[in-house]
Amino acid sequence: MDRITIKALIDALEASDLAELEYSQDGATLRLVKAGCAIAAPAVALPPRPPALPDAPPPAAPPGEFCSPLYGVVHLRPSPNAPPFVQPGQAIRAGQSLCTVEAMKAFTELRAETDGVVQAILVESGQEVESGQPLFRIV
Amino acid sequence: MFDTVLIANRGEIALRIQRACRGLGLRTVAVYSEADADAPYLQAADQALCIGPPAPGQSYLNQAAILFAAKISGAQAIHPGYGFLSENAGFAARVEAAGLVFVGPSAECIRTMGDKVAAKRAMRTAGVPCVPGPDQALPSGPAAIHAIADAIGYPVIVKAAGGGGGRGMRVVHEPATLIDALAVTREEARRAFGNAEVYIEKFLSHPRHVEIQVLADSHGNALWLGSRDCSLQRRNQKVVEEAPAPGIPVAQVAAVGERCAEACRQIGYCGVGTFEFLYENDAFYFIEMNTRLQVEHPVTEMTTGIDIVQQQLRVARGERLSLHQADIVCTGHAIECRLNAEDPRSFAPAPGWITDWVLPGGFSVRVDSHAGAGYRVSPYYDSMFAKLIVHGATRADALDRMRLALAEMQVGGIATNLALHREIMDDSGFTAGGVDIHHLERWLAARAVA
Repeated sequence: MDRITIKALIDALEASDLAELEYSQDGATLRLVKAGCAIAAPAVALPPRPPALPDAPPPAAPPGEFCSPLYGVVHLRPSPNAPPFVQPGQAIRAGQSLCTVEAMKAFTELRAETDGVVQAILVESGQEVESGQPLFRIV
Repeated sequence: MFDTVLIANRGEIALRIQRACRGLGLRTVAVYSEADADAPYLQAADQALCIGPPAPGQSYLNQAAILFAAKISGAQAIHPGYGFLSENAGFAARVEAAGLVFVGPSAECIRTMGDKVAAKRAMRTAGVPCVPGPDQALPSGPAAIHAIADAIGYPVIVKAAGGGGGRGMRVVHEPATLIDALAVTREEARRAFGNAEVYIEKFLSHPRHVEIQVLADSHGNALWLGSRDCSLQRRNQKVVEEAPAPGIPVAQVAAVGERCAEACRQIGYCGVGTFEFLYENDAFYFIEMNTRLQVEHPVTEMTTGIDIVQQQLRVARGERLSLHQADIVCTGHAIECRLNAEDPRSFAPAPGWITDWVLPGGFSVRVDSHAGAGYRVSPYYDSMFAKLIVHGATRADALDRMRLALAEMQVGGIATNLALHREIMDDSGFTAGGVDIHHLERWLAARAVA
């Protein structure tokens, strides 16, 4: 939900004789209440999150799955305008860069442990990945 | 004057500011990114508003979202904390233009100090000692540039006028490489800071990092609150800070402190700020001013007994300082350890769930942290999750207390640099006091070989 949308909704509420307006988009819910009409909940409420579980040590990856060693944000390209590190179907060599995982302003480059072929890329660039989460299927 | 403050930051400093506001009876509005939606300190705020996705550019740096949050929450002031928008003159100007109070100096002061050449000029005018080198833009001709470097004497350092915090600089040891170094630094500066201007200074090879905390009101009063030594650094990031800077004569600190306060009066500075110096061969050399609250402000709070954040809010409300320079006394010694979620040997970042959390306590032990058991350290932001601060009657006393506190503290589930801090407190160089800014990196390199 961007600022323009939110402003448009405020204007719409202002122009109407409604007391409040609730709007959901992409899992985020915005509830607007006209001043003097009701006690407002926080203007933007996020859906409740599932209860937190501590990070278990990464389980042994099934054969062929290449997993992230840390919690962070995966990047499949070295820079936004560069081609991807690897493509599905591509043959790779041990030591070849597969992706980077960004955590706390630092980029960790992940490299293939063995020769093989990238059968599938299991994540999208920019996605948050858990420690131990499979990123690639390599055969 | 304002009674509601929007805190445009996250983590420990958001909580620290919230506490200061509460102490003054001010309402608080917390803003948060989706990544921080579960942060416990949001519950303690009077109101909490989500301002965007996890990436800082879309949330904590999103000026429009923050101004909008201020508008809908009715906050009349915005506290920027440190990092993020705290030294962004454009943001300060927008806050002022929106009819709100920016808890910090004027946009004009931030702009002057953000331009390191302009800052140096302003400091020279106020009689603050600076690193040898011109305080004007460099001439364009190579011969004139060489003449400047020759006059300073090699080695020299080429710095970006828009840089700071250790970024955008290059050491030049001989005339043959000067012009190339200048060109590369200019290009880097243009890309990184949007300002290609560079300047040249004498390169100091083994300085300490010593800084002066200042506090100024909007009625022309300015005070200096003592010195801090932040020489223990890794990759230009401070790791341990202490107050006062050990081994520097009190009269010498007082002389430079008074120049800093005078500089504040001359430029019409209001708020808290820090003058950073290199200290080498018994002399101070100004490098830059931070126009904001700093991470390490607690060590000065512990030695002066002054709540710096409350004072910052008071002067932002237009109050006149009730303190006088003669009231400011530095008592004992304080040390702060920055606790980061990182591997203590490789320094690899280690975000994740905190499963165990045992805090140290007792006389003169303070922990500033937003974290706890069940808190997940986010991969989107800085790795610092707590600051451990102790005070002692003497430096030796403070060191002893810090050793005990570090031994008592336990954090499980994530890797932390607690073990590194324990080793530092037993390092003979650090415990002797007065090490230079390269000490920690040298020590780490020696440890890696051993």
